[in-house]
Amino acid sequence: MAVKKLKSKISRLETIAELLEDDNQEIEASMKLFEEGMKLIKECNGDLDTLEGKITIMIDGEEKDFEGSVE
Amino acid sequence: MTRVRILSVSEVNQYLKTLLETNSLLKNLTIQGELSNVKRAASGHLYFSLKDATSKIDCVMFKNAAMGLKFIPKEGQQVTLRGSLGVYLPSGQYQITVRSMEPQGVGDLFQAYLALKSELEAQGYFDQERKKKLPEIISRVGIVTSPTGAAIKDMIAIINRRNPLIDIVIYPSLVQGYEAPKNIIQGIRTFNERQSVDVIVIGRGGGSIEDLWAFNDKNLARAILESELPVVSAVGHEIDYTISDFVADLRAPTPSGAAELVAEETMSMIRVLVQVKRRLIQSMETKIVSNREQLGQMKKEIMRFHPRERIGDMRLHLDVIQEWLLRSVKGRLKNDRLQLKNIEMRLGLMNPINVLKKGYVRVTDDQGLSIGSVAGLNMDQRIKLHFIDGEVDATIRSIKEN
Repeated sequence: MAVKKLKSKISRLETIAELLEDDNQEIEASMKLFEEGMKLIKECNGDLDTLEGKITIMIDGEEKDFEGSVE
Repeated sequence: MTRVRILSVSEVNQYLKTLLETNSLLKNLTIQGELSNVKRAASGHLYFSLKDATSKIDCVMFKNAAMGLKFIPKEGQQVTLRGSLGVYLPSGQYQITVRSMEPQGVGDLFQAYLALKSELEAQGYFDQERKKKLPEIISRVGIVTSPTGAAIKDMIAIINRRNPLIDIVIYPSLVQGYEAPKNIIQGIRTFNERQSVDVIVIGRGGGSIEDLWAFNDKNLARAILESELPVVSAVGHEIDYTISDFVADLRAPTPSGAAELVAEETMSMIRVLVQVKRRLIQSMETKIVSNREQLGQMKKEIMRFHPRERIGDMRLHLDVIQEWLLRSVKGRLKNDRLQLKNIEMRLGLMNPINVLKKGYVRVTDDQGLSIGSVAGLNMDQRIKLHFIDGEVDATIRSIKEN
């Protein structure tokens, strides 16, 4: 689910960029969006560094950690 | 006495070569036997021997012909090949130049494969229109394959390298043999029931045509067709085509290729992040600049009403008044001065000294009393004439009364 989490953050970021590019935005609202955006970017970069997908194997209808030969 | 003709080695070999290579039977041989000593040269040519219980014959399959092989020739494999006999002059050996070759018994299998393929094709199994697209976001990948093969290792390595965020769920399955299709079908159904992944990959690494046979199964084709989740088929090498490849929503040339298809690179996400960051900063900067400009404009507007500005105005007004006052006083003074000068001038005209300047003289007697008339003057009387710049003594010589 790590990808979905990150992807939803990225799509929020794209919305923020669009809102910021709108000239009619008040400066206070813009500042808030800008701060939110910068925070999200930092989070996403962190996610990319730390999040990891899980590798599981279905045994008897259950997902179990895969301890297979992964180099 | 018979004369023996002595031949060179080359002549003998050349004779044999001509003899053998022009023989119509030897030009078109179909031979059955077991492969041995299989070697693939760097040039792409394939060298091997074909043997049976009691004999063997050397064979060569040149690169162009070898590329047309539908299987990987293996030691001990029973094959049927077609080719012609040739003689290699330098060593005087003969060999079969192979044009085509297929594994024995597969002839029937291959026929079955072709029959199933056209049957399913007719039923619309391979129609592009009904094929599902891979979802834009792939977060979890379900892989139906052998948990111990090289294929799963490669796939995990590639997915991890491209996008370590992706979850991988392995459905362990046989990938060859009689039980394999049932296993793979169960894997596809399980993922569909659970809807726990975004895409299913079925596949295995390379092998002989028999090894890959599980993926030419009618029931498996149906399971792929019925899958709600998109299915990627990745069987064997790039040159291997199976029924499941045709039915699947997407065919990957190899399991590694499938891993690349389903794992969007994190690089592209990083690129998007960099881009968004630039957009945020740029639009914020633009906004700040335009607000600052607006602020400057407003400041100017407000300053016009600042008390200091009004005092300045008043001061200016005062200056004007002062100037006006000064000018009027000065004007008056100037006027007076002019008048004074006038009077002075008129006074000057009346100064007796000025009269003298014009040639008039004052006459006095020697006592200095002014004489204004001839009456009372006597002959030889002494008088004084006063000029502007001196006096003259004179004596009267004659007197004439008017």
